[in-house]
Amino acid sequence: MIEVVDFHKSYGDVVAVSGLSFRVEPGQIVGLVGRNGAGKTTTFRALSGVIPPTLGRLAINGFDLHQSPVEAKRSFAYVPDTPPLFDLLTVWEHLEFVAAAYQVQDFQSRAEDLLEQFELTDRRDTVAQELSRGMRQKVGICCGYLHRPPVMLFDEPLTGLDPQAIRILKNSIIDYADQGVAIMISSHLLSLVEDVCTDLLILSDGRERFCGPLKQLHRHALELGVQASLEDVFFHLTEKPQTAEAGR
Amino acid sequence: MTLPRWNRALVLLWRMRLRARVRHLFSGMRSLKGALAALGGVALLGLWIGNVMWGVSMQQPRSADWLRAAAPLAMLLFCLLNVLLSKPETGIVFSESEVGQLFPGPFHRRELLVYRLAGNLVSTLALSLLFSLFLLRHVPLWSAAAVTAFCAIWLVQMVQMGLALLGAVVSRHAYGHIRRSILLLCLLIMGGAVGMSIRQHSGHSLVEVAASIHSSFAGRVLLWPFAGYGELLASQRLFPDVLVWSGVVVGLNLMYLCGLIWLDADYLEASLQATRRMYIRRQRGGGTGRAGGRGESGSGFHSLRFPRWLWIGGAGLIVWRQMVTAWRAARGIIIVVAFLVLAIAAPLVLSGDPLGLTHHTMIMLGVVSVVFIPQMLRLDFRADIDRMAVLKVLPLRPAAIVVGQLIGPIVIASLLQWMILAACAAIQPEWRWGLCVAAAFSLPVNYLVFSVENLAFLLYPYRLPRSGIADFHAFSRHMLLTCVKMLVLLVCAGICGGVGGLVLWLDNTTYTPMLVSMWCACAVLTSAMLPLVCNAYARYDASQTVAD
Repeated sequence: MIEVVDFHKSYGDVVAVSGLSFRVEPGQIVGLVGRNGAGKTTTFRALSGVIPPTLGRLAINGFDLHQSPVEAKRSFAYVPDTPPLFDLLTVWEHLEFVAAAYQVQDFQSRAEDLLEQFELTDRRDTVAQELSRGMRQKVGICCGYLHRPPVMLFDEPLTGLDPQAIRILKNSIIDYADQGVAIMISSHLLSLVEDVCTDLLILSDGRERFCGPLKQLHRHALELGVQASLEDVFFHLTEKPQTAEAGR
Repeated sequence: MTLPRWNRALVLLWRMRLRARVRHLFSGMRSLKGALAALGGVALLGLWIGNVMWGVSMQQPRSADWLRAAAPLAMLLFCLLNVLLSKPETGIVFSESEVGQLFPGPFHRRELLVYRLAGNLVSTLALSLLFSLFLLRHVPLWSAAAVTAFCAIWLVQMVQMGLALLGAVVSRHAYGHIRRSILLLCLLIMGGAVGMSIRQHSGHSLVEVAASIHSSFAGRVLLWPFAGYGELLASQRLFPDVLVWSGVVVGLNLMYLCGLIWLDADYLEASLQATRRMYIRRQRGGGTGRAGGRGESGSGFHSLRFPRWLWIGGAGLIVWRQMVTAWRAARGIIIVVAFLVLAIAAPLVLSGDPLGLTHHTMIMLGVVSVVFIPQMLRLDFRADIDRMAVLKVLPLRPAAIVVGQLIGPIVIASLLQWMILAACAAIQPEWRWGLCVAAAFSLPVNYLVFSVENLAFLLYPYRLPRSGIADFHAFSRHMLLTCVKMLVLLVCAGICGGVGGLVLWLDNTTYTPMLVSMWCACAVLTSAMLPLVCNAYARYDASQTVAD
């Protein structure tokens, strides 16, 4: 599971995220949404252990990212919007490296299954620089899935994917959540969030505007007197932050 | 301190990437064109090495005392320059794929640090072997030169890393204080040592002064970490000299490495930002342009606005964009100017022959104008390699875009040259008329040079290789294009010279008609280049992928 307590991140005088706290339990799929500059990327980078928090505690699967970074990192997969693959390595070599990094024993059959699932079997020996954007995204997803982590972080996972791959990905995310994986998805596509997520975390100006189940959001929206579509609620919360101290 | 284990995954990655690079190298040679290009690259590289070695072989061999005195001083100077030029926000640069794949991966920071150093191992080895060849004339043993070069490059890389780690450990403010304190201390000690040595040995040779600095207390304090380099270079026998001094130098480097590992600074965020800055610079600069893409840096020029005066069929708009970029990249251009002035002024100051000075200056200026300035000022199509589609869809004529793209760098290059010429005229007033003639030629010559550069680029778009000289395809492509460009410029110079010679033959009373005719010939040739560049731009396929 993911646990974030009073997370602050500042760059000099600029506050990127302020006082963010939330939990993602096994089986939950949390959508992280917000306008550009809301603090989504900063939150994801901090959760993936790339940047340290200015203040607060971030833990993955019980491991504090500051105290035990390697154990925490071993517990999650991070799929960025455009996976930065090694240009000259083949698809298979990427999987081989991930298997070695996460100490996956007998990864071959698992890797072959994933390649087949994402229709990459015939691209197994293709070097990354010859892959299209969508295929690179698929390779990134396969790398993330390979070691069966208990936590998964997706940053705009549908970028470049074709309709078939989108369906496969959505179904696989729901399947993993059913198996007890804690999942977080950062996306601007509210339709994806509505289709897949069980919970929602809305950020605006680095602050939490809503955090809770989607159903609760709809109920809350009705209380506020706005129409109950996610899009309307999103605009309501992110455009009028002073009147929308919602959630919880 | 826990020493980092060899992470199996990182070792595997290192091996796979090395294998992939070799595979990539040979995959290009499967076609006849690729094989010929690679062959051309090897031949050009061989020619270049041969040429440099021939030049080195013409030099007087250095004595053992000279090596002992010069090597530690050179190393100290290099390290001090690193400290001086480094910024607190400097990070250890990884590639974008390494940041994306390794930073969120289950790796210790120390393991990644060792991986970063090991990643440079092959290129460091190749460079060391190359440098050792150039040192052969001056050192008794090649093995000593090779080890010295390897350890020196290794140390320089580690010094850069050390500064980045220090910047990550302490705050920016504290980093500034520490850096200033270290520099001040070193400069005080060094200044004292140099002052005393010069006072004691006035009129003596540089080696004697350097040796005196070495023997002083201050010199011993500052130079002891580098003394091994001088002893190693001066070694006469493989055993015990080379082996013992190699052990000393390698041992000191290992101690420094242990210090870096012990520091265990959280450098990931700084590295992420450094890598991002490099990526943006690369995207904006179309590769490696020093002054061509620094708009994102905090140079403090952002608040300044550049006026937009003229339209000129749309060319004015393009010029305005180029000048705004140049204005905001003013820090980069200032560095370029400072470098050029130093490169030209240093021989002026150090030499004693006033006539030789000016000849030297003029040759330097010519080389700088034709070779270095066009490479540094990439404010034209070469910087817009990723924005060609945007330029193509602008509702402007190709001629307007081409003129607009070329005017910016030409004006800046000419201004730089005029500043240098003015400085030369101030130093050598008797040469002012010659310098005025050079200033008059600078505008058409620049137009010609940048036209040729851009014509070559539009016909054969390329990015400069990231992988250095080991990538023979990219290297040979770049070298062949450079050769062709130089050939075209030589032909143009020949035509201008021919016209000037003809006029002088017809009227040998004064040089003025000859110079005017040469200037006119240069202007005509320049004008003739414009339609060629316009045609190349019109035919440029913006949808093509330009490989690294």
